[in-house]
Amino acid sequence: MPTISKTQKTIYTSVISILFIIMIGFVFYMQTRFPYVLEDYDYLKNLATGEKLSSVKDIFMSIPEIMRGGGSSLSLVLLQFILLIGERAADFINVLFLLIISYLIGRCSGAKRKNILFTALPFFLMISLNSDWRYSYLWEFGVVNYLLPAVSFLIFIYMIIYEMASGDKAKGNPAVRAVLACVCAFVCAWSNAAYGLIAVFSCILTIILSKKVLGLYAKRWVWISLGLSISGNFFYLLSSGNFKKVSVMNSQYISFSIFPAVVLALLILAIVLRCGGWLNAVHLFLIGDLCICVALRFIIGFIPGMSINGIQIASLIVSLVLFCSLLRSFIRENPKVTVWAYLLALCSFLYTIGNMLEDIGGIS
Amino acid sequence: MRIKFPPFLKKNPFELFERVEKPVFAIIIIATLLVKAWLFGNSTGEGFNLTVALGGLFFHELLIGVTFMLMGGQRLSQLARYMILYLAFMPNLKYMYLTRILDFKILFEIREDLTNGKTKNAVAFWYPELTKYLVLIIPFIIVLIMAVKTEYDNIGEIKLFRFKYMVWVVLAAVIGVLILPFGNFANIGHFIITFIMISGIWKLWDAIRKRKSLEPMPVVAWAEILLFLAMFLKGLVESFS
Repeated sequence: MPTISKTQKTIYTSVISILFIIMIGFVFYMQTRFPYVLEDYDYLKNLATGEKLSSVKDIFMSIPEIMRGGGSSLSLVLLQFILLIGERAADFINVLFLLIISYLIGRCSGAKRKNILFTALPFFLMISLNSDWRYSYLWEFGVVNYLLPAVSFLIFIYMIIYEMASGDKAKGNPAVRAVLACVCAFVCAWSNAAYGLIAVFSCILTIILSKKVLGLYAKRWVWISLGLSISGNFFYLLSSGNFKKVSVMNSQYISFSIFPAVVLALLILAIVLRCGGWLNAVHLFLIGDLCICVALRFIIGFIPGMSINGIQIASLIVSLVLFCSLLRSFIRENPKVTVWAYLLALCSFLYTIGNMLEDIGGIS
Repeated sequence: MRIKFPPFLKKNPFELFERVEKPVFAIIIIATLLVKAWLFGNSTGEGFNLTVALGGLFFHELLIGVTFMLMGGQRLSQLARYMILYLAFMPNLKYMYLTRILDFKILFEIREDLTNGKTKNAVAFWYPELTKYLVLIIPFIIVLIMAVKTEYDNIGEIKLFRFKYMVWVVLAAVIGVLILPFGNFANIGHFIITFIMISGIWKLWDAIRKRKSLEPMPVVAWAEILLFLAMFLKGLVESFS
């Protein structure tokens, strides 16, 4: 099987690394230009007294008001903590979490820790495939409600994927993995109802796939995670404000089409199958998760008190995990097409940078 | 480790729906025609106009039909795939774009910013209308090119860089350059570039479909149905939003 030479690989990796650093710089710059807006100002104060946030005590005093306002009490308390530490620190945190999510997408796709392509590519695609990326990734309120739950969600599905892929050859302490998965399932469900629903369905899917496809019983922690993600959803709904007409949970803050990411993921699936690739249990799991996300995207609009904000980002992230996972398998089977994967990363980079320059320079 | 597929994935959907295959494809084609007619009819901004709808549809389908036959399309299934790709990727259809082709004075009017000294905004690098679709078309083409460059079966690598394909790429590049100074050419240019890319995607996909896969055919067929269903939904949702 023809492979690319070591020199070629070094060149490609170096170029992508440089582009990645440039992109991080641009994103950070865009983050610093994005001020506190809308709901950021509402939560910048002690909700009980109306005074500006000055200490942790103000945040604890605000908790009853947060519950009355609706939305995820966990996310909104976290928002106040972030707003308390200052705007510059908040900027660092947002960009850091974007990087963490890109890294986790790469790990979920099966890439090794030091694989720069599968950290940079998700980073570029997360921005290019989301036309409302500014309010999704740069706006504090949007970040805590729709992006941060993605971190715990990705860690949770990474545990599922790791167990499915490794089987008996899994390394490390299984108890630690189990506890991490359970905690993350609970946290992502409490942070955002959409992620919570996907976590619930992911557990059910894992149980079914383990039995029907792998011929094994799902591990106990999957069942525990199922219970915890249902509980997390319950905690999310506990805020009395969630059932009022004008509540944080009902409002639509971000809007973009999930179809580009979904179509791209399904395209690579069809390509892999047509060109000599194999599917494994992890791929089936991710395909199932993607179908659940798309179905929820349409159903959630009809459920009273639910908005589509979180499900859009969740769908994008699941699409990217599936896309990267299949792309990685494809490249492994056909190493000579690796350059096209790097070209794809370059095109995403150019598109995103062009958008940012348009924003910065006012060039139409 | 090879996996056992669930029972429903072991049934070939095309065998399941053998009797209704042609009517299903015909319904898909008719649905895309109706959507296009609706888009044309509503493009004048003064409510739905049936004459504009039918006129736009006639010229449009003439172009598509001729291109489809020139590219070697023969079967109803191929036409259905082409129509779905078109619906998924083509920017909103407006009748005025067609009428502007006939009026060269409007079509080739030099961009105002170039003539009044405000060059900063004269050269437009990005058009939100086009880039909204390019963000998916370009990765689509790159992934398809990856597929044709693999060789694992007796078909081998599919030759991509042939003269006749290069002519179209050069034409798209020339049109892309023409968009810069001629402001009213922009929309026509977008249409032509996207049209060339969609045709290219269809041709690449048709070449890949000739490959024999290693997974069972039903699984491959279900994956393709899922892909084209997603594109069809994308086209419908974005046309009516």
